[in-house]
Amino acid sequence: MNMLTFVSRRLVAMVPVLLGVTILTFLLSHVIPGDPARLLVGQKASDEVVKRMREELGLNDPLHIQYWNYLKQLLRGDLGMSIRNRRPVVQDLAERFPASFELTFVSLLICVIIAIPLGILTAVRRNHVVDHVARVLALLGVSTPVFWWGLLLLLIFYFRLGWLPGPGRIDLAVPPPAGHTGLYILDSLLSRDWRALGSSLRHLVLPAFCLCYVYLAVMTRMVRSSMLEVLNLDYIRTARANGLPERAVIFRHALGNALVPTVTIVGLSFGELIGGAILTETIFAWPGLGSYMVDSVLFLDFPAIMGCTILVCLIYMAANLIVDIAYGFLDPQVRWG
Amino acid sequence: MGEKLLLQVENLHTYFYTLQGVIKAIDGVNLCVREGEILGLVGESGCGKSVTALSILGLVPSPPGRVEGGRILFEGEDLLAKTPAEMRSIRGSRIAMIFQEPMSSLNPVFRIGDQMIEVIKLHKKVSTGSARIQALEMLHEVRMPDPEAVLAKYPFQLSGGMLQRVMIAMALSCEPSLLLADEPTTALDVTVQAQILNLMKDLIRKRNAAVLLITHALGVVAQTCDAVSVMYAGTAVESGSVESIFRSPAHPYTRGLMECIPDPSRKSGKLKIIPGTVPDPVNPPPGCRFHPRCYKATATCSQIRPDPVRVGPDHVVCCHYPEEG
Repeated sequence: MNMLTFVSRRLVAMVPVLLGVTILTFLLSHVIPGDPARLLVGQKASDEVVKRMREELGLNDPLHIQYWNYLKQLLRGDLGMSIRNRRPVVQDLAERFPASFELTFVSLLICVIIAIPLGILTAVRRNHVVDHVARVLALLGVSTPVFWWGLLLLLIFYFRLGWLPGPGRIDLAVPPPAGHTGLYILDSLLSRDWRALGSSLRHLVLPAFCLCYVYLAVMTRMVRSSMLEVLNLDYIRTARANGLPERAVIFRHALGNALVPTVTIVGLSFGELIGGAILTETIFAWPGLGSYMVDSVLFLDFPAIMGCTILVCLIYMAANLIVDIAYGFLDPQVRWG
Repeated sequence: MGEKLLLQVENLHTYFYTLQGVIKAIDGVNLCVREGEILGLVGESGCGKSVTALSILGLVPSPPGRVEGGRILFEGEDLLAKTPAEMRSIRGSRIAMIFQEPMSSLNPVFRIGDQMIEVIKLHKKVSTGSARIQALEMLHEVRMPDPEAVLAKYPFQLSGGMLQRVMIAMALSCEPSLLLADEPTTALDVTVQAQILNLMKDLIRKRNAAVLLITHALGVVAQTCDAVSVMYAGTAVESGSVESIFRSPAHPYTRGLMECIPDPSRKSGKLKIIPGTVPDPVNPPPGCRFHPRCYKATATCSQIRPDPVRVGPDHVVCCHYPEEG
């Protein structure tokens, strides 16, 4: 199958999934008890004011009309007004998303760069010292809560040693780089703003490491176990029987086959992290999607909740699509099948 | 067939160290393969045939396996004394191996051509272009239809028989003087089995290479081999030319194996079997390993391990009471 057909088919298949997601989130956020109009005008406002506010927000319309109105807006690319701050949700998301994207991307990059070589090393040196050390570190990673790591890292590297900056995306004294993407690293590179680049990179280190540790642990173990599995297969024995050096056996013949499960994990992690880095974003005062979503839920800000959900859903689907395409590159049977 | 010895395995011991105990997969095996000879290595599953081949190539999975003793002389050199790098340069060039499962023996993510060219380039130090030409020639020689197209294919796009042809082409591409073939036809359809065996035999004869053909099928041995060694529970119990062994098997186990072959001319519809089961490899019986199942066994058999006895010009048997005639 041609790659273009494959990709466009997958894109078309996304439409019903998205529709389903909008219906589900719409219904869910409406069955949650609580009155957004009351929240908006405050506890002390008179019932008259609350009633007017309900009307203004369209909360008195039947549910299906409310949904239909929402969907019509959605098709125009309008996610509605946030009940909380009276700003378009799209605008809020456009501000929050790059921060989360940057953090997630750097975090997963660190993860992949460390996990793949470490996974290979621990598989090849199974039950040697490296393997044992990595196993203990991985166990620590999956069993220690993220907020604990976050606080510990801040305490040591920011508070005690002063090596790295504290919360936020960039030093207060440094103006954010000019640019349109909102990704500070990319923007500062494009505008050759080295000061902003240095500051935003330093700000990224702690939250990125904190966020990736769990995934680093999982991914290292995953690469290790799939490597061990592949190294036991017949074609690896053939490669060895053909006299290939161990380097070629591991990196050429085993690694490509062992990476398939890892690619799945990376893809899913990306979707999970981009909206789910709530604890990390809170501890490091990172102005990302995770903290925005928590605020929206606490405020029963329906348009914002739905906007976030749709965005995260889109990212999940995009990540899955990329994973599928990556399968095609890694495994010819997917490409030709 | 030359008279010169190509491969000589002397008193080989390969053990596997497991939690259940030490598995003595090979416990004193002697073999010899002459130049240009096809030696069949016969025995039940688990008797150590494949481990023998892997020991020769130095590919016993370690841990848990280890070659614990003996000598493997190949063209006069002791393979057990070689460094890993020296063994790598022998594997695939002077000794090649083909395996039982062609479907899983090639890397699924690389094209057939890439895998063949990789091996040829490695051992012959030639350019990719000339390696490709040699790969094409080899595919031609194994009578592969449309070799050019096959080079660009992935393993899953070929049938088992075709893949085994590729394996043979790959194994012979660097002109090895010894080919280890581990049940090369067991996983194939019966009709394809004969084709592959004949093909292998032709190509081997043309190159004057020798083969150690591992199989459990005596029919294959009779059809293909010059000589045969019979293994039982990690030991070689009898060896000799195909003719003398089939005419007068001297070991009770060999005789038992022959009687197990279904014979349509026999009146009774029942198949003969050897009573008992293969011994536990962790705690093998003392003395002759076959004695618990042997109808001739005496007290001697359960105490003393039989030494090889010559019963014909090249016919050797390890039995206290070899069969006559």
